[in-house]
Amino acid sequence: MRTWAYLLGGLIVWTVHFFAVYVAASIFLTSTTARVVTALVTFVCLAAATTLTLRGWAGRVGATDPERRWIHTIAALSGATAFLAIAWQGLPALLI
Amino acid sequence: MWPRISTRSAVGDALGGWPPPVLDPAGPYADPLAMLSWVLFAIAALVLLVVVAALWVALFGSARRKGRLGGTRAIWIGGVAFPAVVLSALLVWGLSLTGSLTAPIRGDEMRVKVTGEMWWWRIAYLGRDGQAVLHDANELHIPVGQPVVLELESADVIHSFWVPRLSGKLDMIPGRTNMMRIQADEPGVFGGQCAEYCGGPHALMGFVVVAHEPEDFARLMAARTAGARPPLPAHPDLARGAQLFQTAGCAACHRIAGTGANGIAGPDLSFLGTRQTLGAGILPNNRGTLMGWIGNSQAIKPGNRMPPYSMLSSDDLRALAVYLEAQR
Amino acid sequence: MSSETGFDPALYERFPTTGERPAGEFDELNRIWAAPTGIAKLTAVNNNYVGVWYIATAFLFFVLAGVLALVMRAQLALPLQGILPQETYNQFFTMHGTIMMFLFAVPIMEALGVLLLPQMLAARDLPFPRLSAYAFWAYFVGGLCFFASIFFGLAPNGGWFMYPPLTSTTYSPGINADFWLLGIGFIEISAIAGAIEIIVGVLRTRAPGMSLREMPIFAWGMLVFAGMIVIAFPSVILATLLLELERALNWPFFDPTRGGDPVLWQHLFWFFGHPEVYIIFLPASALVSMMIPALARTRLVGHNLIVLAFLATGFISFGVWAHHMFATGMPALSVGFFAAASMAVSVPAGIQVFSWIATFASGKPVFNTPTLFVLGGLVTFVIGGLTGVMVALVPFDWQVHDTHFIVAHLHYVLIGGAVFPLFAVFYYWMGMTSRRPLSERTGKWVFWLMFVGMQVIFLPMHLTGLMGMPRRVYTYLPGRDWEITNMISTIGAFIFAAGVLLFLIELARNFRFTVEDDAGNVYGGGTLEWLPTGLYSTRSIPVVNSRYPLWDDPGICKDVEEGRYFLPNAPTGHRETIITSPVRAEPEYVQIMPGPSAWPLLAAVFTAGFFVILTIQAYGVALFSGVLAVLCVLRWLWDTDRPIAVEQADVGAGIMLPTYVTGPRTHGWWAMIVLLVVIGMIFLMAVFSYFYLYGIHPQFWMVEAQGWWLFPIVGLYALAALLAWLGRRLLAREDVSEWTPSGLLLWGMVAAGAAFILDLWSWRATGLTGDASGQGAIIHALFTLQGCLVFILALMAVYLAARTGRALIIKPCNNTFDLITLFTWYLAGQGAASALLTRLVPGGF
Repeated sequence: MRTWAYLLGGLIVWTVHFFAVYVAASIFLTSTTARVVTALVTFVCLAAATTLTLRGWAGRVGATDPERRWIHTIAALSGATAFLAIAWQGLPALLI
Repeated sequence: MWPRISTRSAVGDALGGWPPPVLDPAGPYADPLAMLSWVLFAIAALVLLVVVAALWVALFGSARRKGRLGGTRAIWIGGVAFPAVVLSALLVWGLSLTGSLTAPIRGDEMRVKVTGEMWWWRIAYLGRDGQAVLHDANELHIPVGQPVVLELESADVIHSFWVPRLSGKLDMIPGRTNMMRIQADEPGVFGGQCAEYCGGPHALMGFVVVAHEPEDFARLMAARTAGARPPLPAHPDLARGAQLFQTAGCAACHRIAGTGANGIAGPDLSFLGTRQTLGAGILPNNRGTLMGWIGNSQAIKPGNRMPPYSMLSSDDLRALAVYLEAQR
Repeated sequence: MSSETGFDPALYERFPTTGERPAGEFDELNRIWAAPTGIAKLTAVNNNYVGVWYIATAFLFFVLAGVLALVMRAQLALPLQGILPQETYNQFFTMHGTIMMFLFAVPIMEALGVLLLPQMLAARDLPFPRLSAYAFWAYFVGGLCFFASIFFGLAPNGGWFMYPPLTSTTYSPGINADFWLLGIGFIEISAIAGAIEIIVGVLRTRAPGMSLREMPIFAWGMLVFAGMIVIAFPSVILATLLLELERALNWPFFDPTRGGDPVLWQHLFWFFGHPEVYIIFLPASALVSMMIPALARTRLVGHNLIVLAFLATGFISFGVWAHHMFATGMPALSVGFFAAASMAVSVPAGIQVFSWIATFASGKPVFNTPTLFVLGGLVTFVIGGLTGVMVALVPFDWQVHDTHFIVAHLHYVLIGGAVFPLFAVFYYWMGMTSRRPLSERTGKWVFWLMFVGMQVIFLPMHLTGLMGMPRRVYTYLPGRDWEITNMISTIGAFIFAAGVLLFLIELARNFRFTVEDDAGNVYGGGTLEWLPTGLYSTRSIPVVNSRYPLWDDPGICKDVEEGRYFLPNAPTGHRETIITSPVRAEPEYVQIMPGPSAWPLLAAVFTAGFFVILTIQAYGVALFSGVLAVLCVLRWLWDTDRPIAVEQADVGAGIMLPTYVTGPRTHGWWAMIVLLVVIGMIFLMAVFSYFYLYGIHPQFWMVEAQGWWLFPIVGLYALAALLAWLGRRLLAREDVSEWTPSGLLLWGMVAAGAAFILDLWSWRATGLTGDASGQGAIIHALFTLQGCLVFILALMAVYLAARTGRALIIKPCNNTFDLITLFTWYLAGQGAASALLTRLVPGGF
């Protein structure tokens, strides 16, 4: 379970972010409140994705067991993907 | 910029075809969409070219070139970095445009309520107080050079309001009112149609938007809201047509202002004589088509809510057509 | 090297073993795995049979739905044609979309999983062979009945996404819509069954040593595919349930005049509907990633990136559903979020495309038929992806949404992303099930006809859409310049159809079904499905430490065939496979597998019968069929979960594994957890609907149940969970009677049932009815869901009592008991959550 949570960590952060901003926009519609909530959630989630990426990368470099190394690799990649996706997800708050 | 290759009737011209209406905008709510479309097509063509070129090298390239392409670096550049940059730029543009095109509705804009019905359009021009000042159907008149706010509703199932040369589409959903703006920058006739599948003859649910110079539009509205109907022209069949309209059942569903015909189930016919089209944007409006429609609209638009009037003789039909043509 | 389960990886060094295997062992294996002959062959559950039947049926539906499309294209060739009357046309396009999505695309991917996965993982079969057979037969019988509705003019006509209110009784009074709603019912069951099978199969039946790192890319694709089904299908299950309830009982979920909302349907449908596209694309893409290395004679470049792409797609595709709803007038900010996610989901697709290109570049591609189909699919899919990026941009979508531009876009994606890859698959893997491979010469004709046909149909169709032609129109008026592009599209459709026809002829000429003496590895693949096989799958199960074992260990085929690896025999005398751990695939225990049986077949026929007969409103007969289905399932289960005499089996090289294991390590437990996730997702979507309807029309939420009822209701549910837990604990004790644990569990079930009745009764006491308002409808829907669970629990109670009576609930631990306990816990949790929700929102104490 912990292995999977780590492997998919970045994507789970993306999921949390997406549904948080969706709920915010559904309740507060297109308003300043919704934009502020989106921006805050985005910053927190970007930080989380960055942490996961860096941790994965460090683990990848340090690992000796090929399986662990592989898991760190995927974790780092999933964090990086999530970073890009979350950054895009935050854009509407600035532009709409 | 478009070659005019077609030889079509005026109605056909208004309702779509060449040049593609999406790329031939006629107002500020469609202009940026056409611009966006062109940029998207260009980018798509470019990306396709890059992919096909890469594929070509991968299959037929020299060993050296293939070697440079055959590693994860190529994936990072082509599959991650390149899309990330292009898509970021597009997203920023697309989102900004979304924001600007959905600017909040102000109170001082002209408003028209358009209600989708199976399978036609009910139109009500609203006054400053939000009350309907004029009823019509299947043909929307607007002044050029100013935005018109449409309140889109539905009386039955989901429809979608779309005049490609003036704006993108917006759904008409039961229980909701969706607001959109359209604006035409020059006088003309612009075709529209229902875009959301609404059962039966959904394929044949069109309409037109007619844009007038502001002063012409003001004159038109003034005349139509004045209350007094213009005098009917002298025609021998007119009286018979008027009588048939009441006795044959037309008045049960259709309204003609000032005549006591007050049916509301079907389209308002008060200004039928001036309409460009019949049957919700599907036939040119002339005496022949009008007679054909009244006699057996089911053959023209199967499934529509108007029953066939096969018991009427051709003289009856002509009389009715003459009477309706006179409603202006 | 570290271990996941305590298994010592050094033991792998013992393989391949040396020395002669005892004589007779091989014949024993053949005898145990033999399929029945004659008519009884229909009761076979071996994946080699079921997989091929499954694929054949799905392909049949592809051809049938294709014929519908061909007639529609003929109708649209010229304006105002009368080939198809309006109503028939509306049924045709509804059926075309529905069949292609539900009866072709998803089933054929599951079918390929059934056929290929066990071989690729070197398992003897998938973990629940009878479940596969059940899923197949339910789909086969139900699907054909569903299709037959078109011959009676009873086919659904609301479009494949069936938007209410067009599909509610007011505007669709006939039973056509019910055919869709109930017809989709058994497809959903079948898809869920397949997904459970695939998830547990991929995670628990891999060959020893095949860690996640070395798992074939197809297994990754299928894992994510099945995971997505588990999350996405519940949404459409709930949607169809709600709409059927609205139609049958007048509960106004989608009726705005009574506090419902038609857009709720769109949210529920597309939360399934968009992931569905990736559900179709991922397995196909994974198959492409399997084939390209063989076709280019090299290893897949960017294997890890592709794994990531699958995982990322699996997540992000759940954030794009509303991009089908950009024109519904959602808040601009929400629309922006969906646009951003739609952009993000295209990045993984880009990764896959460039991985394939890089793989081709690093190898020496051979231009045979599969290669051509892969390349044609790649180019086509890229074009579809590019128009996909266009429609992800909201303002552009406002123009082209619901026009023929979209029709062109989605066909580019689906044909390029799934159909062309599938044809490559047919050629590539035909050698596994046919005595003769398919002809390369005709293959190239098939490809070029289909590829050219595809482009001729759909490239001009983009323009048709930009010229203003909406989709789902049975005809169009002359004088709009739509004639030219439509005529071209129709010509293309016939070219495409000629390609498919040629393929059918080719099948008739060269496809000869076989399990034993197949044509084999024609294209030189390096993965385990090309090990020599029989009905028992591989003779022995190899230790895997490479992504391309056949390339890296030239001796592997011989060693496997000579039984020098795991399970060279049948130590227990039953059908068996090795259950391994999920991450590192260390051997855990020997699973005893069920053999051929008529019960899954009968259960499937009666399940399909239940849904189909329900449609024609013969309620008595339908109920009878449903009861028979339940009885057949129970009878089929009755033989399972029996410990065998051999407690520890030698699986080769003196490694001993247990044959009966219980608790969270078992494949049964995993399957139950996946099933509970499905049920939980249905409940979650119902909770979403609850909040949604309240948010849209709070003025209809007038009724409040008294809050203090919560104490007895939640208390009883807690008691149920506690008794189940206590029963399971006592089962492990020697000094309690046979009936004590089961008795406790049964009392727990009674408590859960009582809690449900109390909850229902206290709401009925308020006078709230299902047809009164959106609130009444959704609360009754929650009761319907909980009621179904309580009904299943009652069946479980009878089953548990019967098994206890026959002394089949053995101590100290037992899988049947475990699984029923799990279900009871879940039910208690959902019931309590439901009671809390309906009383605390919006009311409060």
